[in-house]
Amino acid sequence: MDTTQSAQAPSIPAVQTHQLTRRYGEMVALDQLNLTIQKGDLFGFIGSNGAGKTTTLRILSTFLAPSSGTANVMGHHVVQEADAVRHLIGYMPDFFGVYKDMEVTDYLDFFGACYRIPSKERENTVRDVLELVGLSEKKGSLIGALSRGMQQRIGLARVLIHDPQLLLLDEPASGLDPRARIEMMAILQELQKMGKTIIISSHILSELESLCNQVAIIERGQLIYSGPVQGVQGLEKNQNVLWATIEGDIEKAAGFLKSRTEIGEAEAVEGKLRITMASEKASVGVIAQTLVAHDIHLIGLKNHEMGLEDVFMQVTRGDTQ
Amino acid sequence: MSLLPIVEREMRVASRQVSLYWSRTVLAGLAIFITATIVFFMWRFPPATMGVSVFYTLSCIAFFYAATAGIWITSDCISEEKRDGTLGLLFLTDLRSFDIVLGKLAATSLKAFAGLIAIFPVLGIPLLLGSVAVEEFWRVVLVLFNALLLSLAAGIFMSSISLRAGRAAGATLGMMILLLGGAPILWGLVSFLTGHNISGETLEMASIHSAVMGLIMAFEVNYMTQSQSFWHSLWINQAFILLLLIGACVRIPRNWQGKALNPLKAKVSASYREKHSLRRKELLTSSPIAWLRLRQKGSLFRPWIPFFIGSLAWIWGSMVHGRWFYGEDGLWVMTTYLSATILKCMMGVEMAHRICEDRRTGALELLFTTSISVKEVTQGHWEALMRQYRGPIALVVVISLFFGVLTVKRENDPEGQFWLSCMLAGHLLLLFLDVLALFWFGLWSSLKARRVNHATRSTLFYILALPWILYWFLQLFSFQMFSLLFFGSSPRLGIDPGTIMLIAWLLVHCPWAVGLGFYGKKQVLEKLKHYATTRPGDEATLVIAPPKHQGKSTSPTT
Repeated sequence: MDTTQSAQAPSIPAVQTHQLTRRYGEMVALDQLNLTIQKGDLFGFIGSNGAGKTTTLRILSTFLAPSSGTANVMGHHVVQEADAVRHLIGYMPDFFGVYKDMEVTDYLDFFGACYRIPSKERENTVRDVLELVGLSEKKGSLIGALSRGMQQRIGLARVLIHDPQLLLLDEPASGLDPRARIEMMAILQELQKMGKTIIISSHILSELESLCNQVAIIERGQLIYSGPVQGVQGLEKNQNVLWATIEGDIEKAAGFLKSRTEIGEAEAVEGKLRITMASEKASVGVIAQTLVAHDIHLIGLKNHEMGLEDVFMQVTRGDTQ
Repeated sequence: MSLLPIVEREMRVASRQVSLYWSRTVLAGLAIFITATIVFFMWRFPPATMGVSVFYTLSCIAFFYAATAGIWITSDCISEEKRDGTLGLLFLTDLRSFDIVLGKLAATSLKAFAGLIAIFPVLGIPLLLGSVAVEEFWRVVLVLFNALLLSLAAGIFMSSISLRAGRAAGATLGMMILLLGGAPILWGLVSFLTGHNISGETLEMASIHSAVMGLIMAFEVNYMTQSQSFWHSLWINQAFILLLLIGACVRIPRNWQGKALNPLKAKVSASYREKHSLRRKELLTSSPIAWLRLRQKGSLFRPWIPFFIGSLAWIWGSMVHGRWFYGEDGLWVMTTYLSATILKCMMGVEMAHRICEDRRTGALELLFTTSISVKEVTQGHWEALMRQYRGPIALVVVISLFFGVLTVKRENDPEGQFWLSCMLAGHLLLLFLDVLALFWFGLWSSLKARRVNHATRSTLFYILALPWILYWFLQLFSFQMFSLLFFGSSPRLGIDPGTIMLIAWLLVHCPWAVGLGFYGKKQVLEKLKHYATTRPGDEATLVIAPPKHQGKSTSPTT
C-alpha cells in the first residue's frame, strides 16, 4: 500500500462541496450542503435515517448527480471528471453486493481486474488487502459461507484493492458484533495512519467519537455542524447540569436540593446526583450549602460533559424527509 | 381464514397488485381480439360453424396459457425465498410446510386464475351462437382449471427442490412436457428409433394421463363416444396435483437449511478450478465481465448438451432408416429449424439470466464503483456469450447449409431450387439477426425485470414468439382481404403463394429482430448505470431533475 499520499499539496481538500443539493421530485434530500474535508481526516458523518448521509456519499462516489451545486474529490469534479474520481475513491455501500458462489480471492481478483491492475500485481495486492483486513486464512473460502462480519471485511478489502486515497464507508459496522466492530475500527485507524482520508457514516456515535477527528451532523439534508469532535460539545450549553458525589442518602439529598428555587431538578442516577440548575446564572454554591446544612458530606462536584450522543439527540429531532 | 394464515396474508397482498388487474384486462382483451379475428375471417360461414371455431381456438390458447403458467409464476416462488434466506424465517414460527406451500400457491395463482376467468365470458360466446352445449363449455372450463392447477403445482414442486430460478423454470417445463405428453413422446420416439408403428389404441391408452387428452375428450364430438376417458384423465391429473403438492410439503422442511458441501463435489470443483486457473487468469485480465459470466463450472459445455442428444438420436435414426434419412426432406427441414430454435431459446434464457440477480443483490452496482464503463460491460457480456455459443452457432450454420444444400439438390425445378436457396439464405440471415436481438434485448429484459423468469418470458416471447404470431396474422389477414377484394376468386398476381409466404416471413421477422435489437441496445447503453444503482421496484427514484452543470457530463445518472 502506498503510504505517501498524504504528502500531496495540502491546499486541495479531499472533499469539498458547495451548495450541494439533491432533489427527488419534490423532496429535497440534500439542501445546499457546504462541506470541506481535509486529506488524512477520519471524518464521521452523523444523521438520522433519511437525513441525507447516503445521498451525499453516493454523490461523492459518482453514483448520483447533484441537482445543483458542486462536489469535488481531491480537486476533481464528481460529475465532469467522474472517471478520475472513481480511481481515487473506494466506496463501500450499506449492502454487501457479493457473489456468494465466488471464492474470496477470486472476488478481489475480479475487482482488481475491473480497476485494470496488471495480473502479477493483482496477486500481491489481493494478498496484502486480505492481510490488512485479517482474512488471509479465508482466502480460499466461498463468500456465501462466511459470516456477516467477514463479508463486511471483504467489502472493505474490495474498496482497498486499487489503493484509493479516499474511502467512503456507509455504515461499515452495522450488524457487526462488538468484537468485529472494534476490529473494524482498528483497521480504519490503521488506514488513517497510512494516509487515507476516510468518511464514515454510522449510527454508533460513541465509537465515532473516539475514532474520528472530524465530524459532521446532518439533519433533513442540511448541515448542522462540521468540525472537530471536541467542538460538538459547544453546540449545546450544558453548564447548568452538574454531577455530585455524596456520602449519605441520595434520595433524601435529592429531596433537599429540589426544595431550593435555584435548583430546577435533582435526581439520583447510578449512585450519583444529577442536578440541573434552574438558570445559567444560578450559583452552584447553593448545592454545597444545602447539603452541608443537612449534614450530608459532599465528596465531589463537576460539570456534565456532553458526549456526541447527547449533542446529537439535542440538536436533531430525528425528522426524516 | 385463521386456519391458513399465510394464505390469507398472501392473497390480501396479491389482490392489491396492479398487475392483477392488468393481466385480467390484457387476457380478456386478447380473447376478444382472437374472437373478432376468427369472426372476420369466417364471415361467410354460418354462425354455428363460426362459434365452434371460436370455442376450439380459445380453448386451445387458454389451455396453453394454463399449462405454461407454472413455469413463469410458481417455479421460482420458493427457490427465491431460499436464495434470500427468508424461507428459514418462516420455519422459525409455528407455520408448517403445508401453510407455506398453500400460501405460495394462493398468492401466485391468484393472477393466473383471474386471467383464466377473464377469458371465460368470451369463451361463452359460442354458447349464445348455439354452437356449443352448456355441458361441453363446463367440461372445458374444468379441464382448464385442472391444467392450471397442475402447472402451478409442478412449478411449486420444482421450486421446492431447486435453488436457482433458471433451473427451477427449466425443470418445470420438463415436468410439464412429461405430464402432458410424456407417453406420446416416448412412444413416438420408440417408433421413430425402431421403425415400428404403434397402434392408435395403444397411444390413446398411454396418453390417458395427459391433460391434453382431457381437453380433447372434453369436446362433445369425443365425449359422446369416450366419456370415461375424459373423467379418467381428470382424476389422474387431480392425483398428480395432490402428489406434487404433497411432494413440495415434504421437500421444503428438508432442504431450506444450508447444506455442508459434498467433499467429492468440492474436490472436483477445486480440481476444475486449478486446471483452468491459468486460462481463466488470462480472461480475467482481458475481460473481467466475461470472466464473471463464465465462472460457473460447465458454462462452456452446457450449450452443447441438446445438440449432443440430438446427434445421438440422428445417429440412431440413420442406423435404422438409412444414411441421413435420405429422401426425408421434411425431417431435414425440421432438424434445421429445430436446431436453430433450440439454440435461440438457450441464448435467450442465457441472456435473461445475465444481470437480473446481480442487480437485485447490488453486485451490479458495485461493478460501477470501479472504473469499468458501460461499453466494457456490454462487450464483456458479448464475449462471454460468444465463447459459450460460437461453437453451437457454427454447428447450426453447418447443419442448415448441409440439409439446405441436400434439399436444394433434390429439387428438380430450377425455380423451386432458387426459392429454396432464398429460404436457406433467409434462415441464416434471421439466425444472425436473432442472435444480435437476443443479446441486446435479452440484456435489457434482464436489466429491468424484477425476476429472472419474467426476463426469460419477455425475451423469448418478444423475439421468438411474437414475430410468428404477427406473421400468421398478417398472412390470414392478407388472404382474407384478397378474398374480399376479389369476391372469393383467387387473385392472379403471377407470383407463387410459397414465394409470397417467404417474402412475408422475411418482411416480418427481419425488421422485427433488427428493431428489437436496436431498441434493446439503445436502452442498455442509456440506462444500464441508472438501473444498476437502483433495486428492482425502486425505478421511480430514477425520475429526477437533470443536473444543472456546465459542460459534458460523464456521471451515471446524467
